[in-house]
Amino acid sequence: MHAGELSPEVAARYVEQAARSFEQLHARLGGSSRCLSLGGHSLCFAFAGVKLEPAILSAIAHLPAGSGAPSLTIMGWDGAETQAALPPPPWAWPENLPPHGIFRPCGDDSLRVFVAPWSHLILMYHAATSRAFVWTRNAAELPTYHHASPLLQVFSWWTRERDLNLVHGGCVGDDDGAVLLVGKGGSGKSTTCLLAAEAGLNYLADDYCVAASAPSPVVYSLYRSGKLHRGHLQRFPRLASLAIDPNADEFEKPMIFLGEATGHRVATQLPLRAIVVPRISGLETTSFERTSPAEALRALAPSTLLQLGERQSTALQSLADLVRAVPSYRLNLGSRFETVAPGLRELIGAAAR
Amino acid sequence: MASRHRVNAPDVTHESFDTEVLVINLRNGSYYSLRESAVPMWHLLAQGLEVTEIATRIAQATSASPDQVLADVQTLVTDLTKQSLLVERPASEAPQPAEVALPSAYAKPVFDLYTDMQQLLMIDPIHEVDVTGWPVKPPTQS
Repeated sequence: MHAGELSPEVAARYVEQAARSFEQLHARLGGSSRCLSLGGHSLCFAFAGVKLEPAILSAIAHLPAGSGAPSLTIMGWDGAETQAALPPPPWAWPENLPPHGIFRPCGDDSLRVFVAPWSHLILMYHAATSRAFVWTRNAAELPTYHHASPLLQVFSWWTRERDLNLVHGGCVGDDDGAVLLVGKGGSGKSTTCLLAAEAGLNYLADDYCVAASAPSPVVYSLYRSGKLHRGHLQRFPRLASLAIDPNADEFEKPMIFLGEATGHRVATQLPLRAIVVPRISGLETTSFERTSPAEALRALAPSTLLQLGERQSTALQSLADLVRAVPSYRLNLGSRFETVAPGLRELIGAAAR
Repeated sequence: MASRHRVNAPDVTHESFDTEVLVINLRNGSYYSLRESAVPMWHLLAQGLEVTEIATRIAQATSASPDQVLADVQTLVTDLTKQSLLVERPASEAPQPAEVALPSAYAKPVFDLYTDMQQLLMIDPIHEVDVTGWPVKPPTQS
């Protein structure tokens, strides 16, 4: 059998085998389970042992409790704690791990596997049964970015199947609604969102969140983490004092879990009022102006689709529906940080009118 | 030069606005902004119309020099096929004409290429698969 030729039937049997492995580990070691709500869906997390749960749930602990039949069930365990790996896969590996570490054993989306050999992390998602698995060699060794954005690939695959968009963007808002800040790394999204949170706005994301254009535009928070480059973080002493860095990685971005304990308001969902393209203006005061939906999509789509390894052509159309649903603005970030939050509030107010 | 083309789907995805077409090559991570007359040219090329017909339509709509428009369409086609955004349409595949808004004044096609996301698509050689059957980091780089 060549890579990508696994039959869906064999894939399904393998998934059942992995689920049985989990159940046996859970029966032997105990563990935990928790259901959370995202976009109106219930996501159920089950862990064998105790080591992996905090590495996965800390970033999403703010999500409301889920109820009803789960739309996604995620089973996970730590290899060092359980002395158990995922069952040996019944497929052949390609010579080169595809981009983003995403491999499709059947050649289609029926079973998707994310492998990060450098982090010793494996994610697996079986679409037909809406089940996913997370395994790591040792949760204590996971790089910081995996703590900040756990199960990113699984959420990307699962949201795509439910008319939700996992987007690369930050999101903050007030009582009038929220704005989605989009653009590639270095455009000022994270700094803007953290400054907004420090100024008392509602925080939903700095890097990834979930958005939908119908029935009405809305953004759902996924991760309550915020990250800033180590060098940049030092300009914000209070945020620096709150930052943690479980395992420093090549991104050099310590993280903060925002919430009541850190003095920040974290919202789980808000109406989406505008798409915002931030840019560093070189001027002192923050300002904003309307821009075209084409510019907004150009800032949103490439980083979202290419970072997440999206292959479905309909994904771009879904993002286009989002930018067409609300006005788009360019946010000219001023060097005087105290002007950022007021500028955002004014923009949200203008967009909400 | 092949006379009829189609979008190189599914590797290439695109979305249109009144004044801009955003095209993303999901395989190599490049993305493109097409503006001015490149917008109707893209649509007509994607539908499978011949280059000469496209040039004629746009020249007539804009009163531009037919030779200039034809040269611009040919240049754009060369660029788009070089970037693997368009491929030759098989003779067995009929064109799919649909209404395309044509400008009233001619402006040369604008075709901007962005490659800042290409590093996201780097592949990672699998050096080793361990006894459990899963890829692992090479031991010399642990």
